[in-house]
Amino acid sequence: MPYRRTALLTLVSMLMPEAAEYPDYAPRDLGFGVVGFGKMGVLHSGVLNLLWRGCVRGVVDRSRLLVFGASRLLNGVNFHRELKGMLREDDPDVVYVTTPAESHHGIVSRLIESGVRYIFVEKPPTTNSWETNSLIDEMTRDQLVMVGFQKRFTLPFRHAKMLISEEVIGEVERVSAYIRSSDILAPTSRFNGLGRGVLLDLGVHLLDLLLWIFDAGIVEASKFRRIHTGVDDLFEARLRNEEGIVFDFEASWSRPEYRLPETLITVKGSKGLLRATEDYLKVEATEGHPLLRDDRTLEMYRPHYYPGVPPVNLADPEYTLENMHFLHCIHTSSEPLTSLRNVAGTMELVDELYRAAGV
Amino acid sequence: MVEELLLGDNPFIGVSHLAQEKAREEAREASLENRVRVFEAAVEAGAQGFTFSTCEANLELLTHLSAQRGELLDRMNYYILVPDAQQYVRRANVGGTPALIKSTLKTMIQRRSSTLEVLAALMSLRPERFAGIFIENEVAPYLKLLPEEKVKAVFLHEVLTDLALAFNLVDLLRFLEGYVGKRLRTRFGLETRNLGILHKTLSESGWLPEYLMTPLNPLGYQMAPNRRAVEEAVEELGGEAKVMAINVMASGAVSLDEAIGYLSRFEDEVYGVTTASTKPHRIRGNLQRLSQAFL
Repeated sequence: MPYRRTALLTLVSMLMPEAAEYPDYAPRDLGFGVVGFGKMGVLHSGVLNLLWRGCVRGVVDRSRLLVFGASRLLNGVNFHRELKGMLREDDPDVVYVTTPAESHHGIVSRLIESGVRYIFVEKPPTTNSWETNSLIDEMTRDQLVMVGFQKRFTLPFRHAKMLISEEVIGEVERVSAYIRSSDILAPTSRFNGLGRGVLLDLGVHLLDLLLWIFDAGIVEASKFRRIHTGVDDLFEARLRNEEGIVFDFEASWSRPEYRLPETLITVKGSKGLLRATEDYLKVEATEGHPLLRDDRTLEMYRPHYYPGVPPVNLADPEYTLENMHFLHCIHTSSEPLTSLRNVAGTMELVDELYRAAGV
Repeated sequence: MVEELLLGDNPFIGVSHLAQEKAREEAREASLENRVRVFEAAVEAGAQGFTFSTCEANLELLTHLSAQRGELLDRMNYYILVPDAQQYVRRANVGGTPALIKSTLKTMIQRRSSTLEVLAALMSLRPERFAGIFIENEVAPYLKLLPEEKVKAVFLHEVLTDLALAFNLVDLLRFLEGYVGKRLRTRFGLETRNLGILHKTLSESGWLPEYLMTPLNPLGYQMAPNRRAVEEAVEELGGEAKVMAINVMASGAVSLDEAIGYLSRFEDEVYGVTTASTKPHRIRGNLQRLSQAFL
């Protein structure tokens, strides 16, 4: 049965109400600063400027080469090599932190101390839970800090969460999940100083999803393997939640067949099976359900979830959607779904998994 | 008016905008032998052009065709999409962005043909010249293989086009158009997934490239800021630029009949329509249906 576009747009507005409300909360009067102009800094700057032209005013990066080249090319953006220079000269209302993970704690701490009211920090927010909790302690009541766990804004995962909570496949019995990429296919010492690898960099997305959807926070077993780096390139674990549901977990960044990162969550329920990735949602239920269009199966793909939504298409749509969520939270002074407080448990689980694996 | 039907390369290089799972399946099917069969089927079914990214799999295919099947190579026009963005993303993941920039500059300097150009760019402190040299270096291996008169345009990949749009770098795009025309002796085009926004910016600047490549499908998939705005942009720009419609079946989420029905609305504005598959019989069938509908 084909999907009608109007029905798809209705579904999108159910899964992500902010998507339908833009540009009601567009950042008309806000100035943005970006710390770190690597891949993620460029991406967020691009998305923000496409959402509201010229809103990115200042950029900080330590690389002389990058600052020199970019400042010659990009008119209308001030480039700095020091954070204090940007804060003083550009006085941004919102600052995005997109530097390597080991620098997040220090930079976010300085931004909080400087009184920046709205802060977005890429995932992982810090390298461990102690640092995350110390930032939460430093924040004042009117400061918002959102973390870039963009998988929570991926519509097939949001849809999966909704169907699971409505028991479309009955009671959850068992879950297996992986996140795989081909990010690291050659030896590199880039992560040696940090001492943590794929679990912190990539696996943290999946842990965050499993906690958000299932509250899977108890570690039963964990192990890791080095392949190309001095840290974990493959991390496997078994988790459990308070209801006794078991979760098999795998994170790997050295899988050449995964041209782009892919997260797969397979859920076996008492009345069916659900599989969700960034690209699709597939459900096979033993009984029909209104949320399955009174059918027993559902198969929806990326084009069904993003029918002219979101209003900016740069890299994957979830990046724009998470930025829209942040802008909406700023506009309404509400707590982001992935605020530091809301993801502190994810970072505690990361620590616990490394501890259990003997790292 | 639709003038050309094009073969696209996504299934050849492990790209699917439907699902990565499908892309992996297609990549397994896309042996060199199979890619040649698809290329041949496309030519026989009336495809006039091949639009492709500058990546290893396509270099392998075109090298093979150049050496073994020159008659096939001569029957297509070529639209080259540059750069292979994912390759650079992966390199940034391994070494970081500053290291990627340094290694890219080093590669540019090491190529003897561009050493002087790089030095001139360094002396002039004009980063747009590096962008031109970068494109030239990416395209160079392909230009050696393809008949010069058959290379119709070099397109800037959507990631770079849309970032240039985000930072309002119309002057850079104009420079690249001139650079491509002068140094590569071909036309310049922009690939975008944000045509509605690009349209607004280009209208303000008074500049338009000769070619535009953009998704156009009834679902509105990859059409930003929304389907209506992109439709309006195609209607307004179609008479002035050569608009190449890609992802017309929304990555397989709509049927070819639905796609043709939708594209018929833009018959006077769209210059080229792209289709792709790893299966020779499917590419033949798609092109025959598209030929009946538009040519």
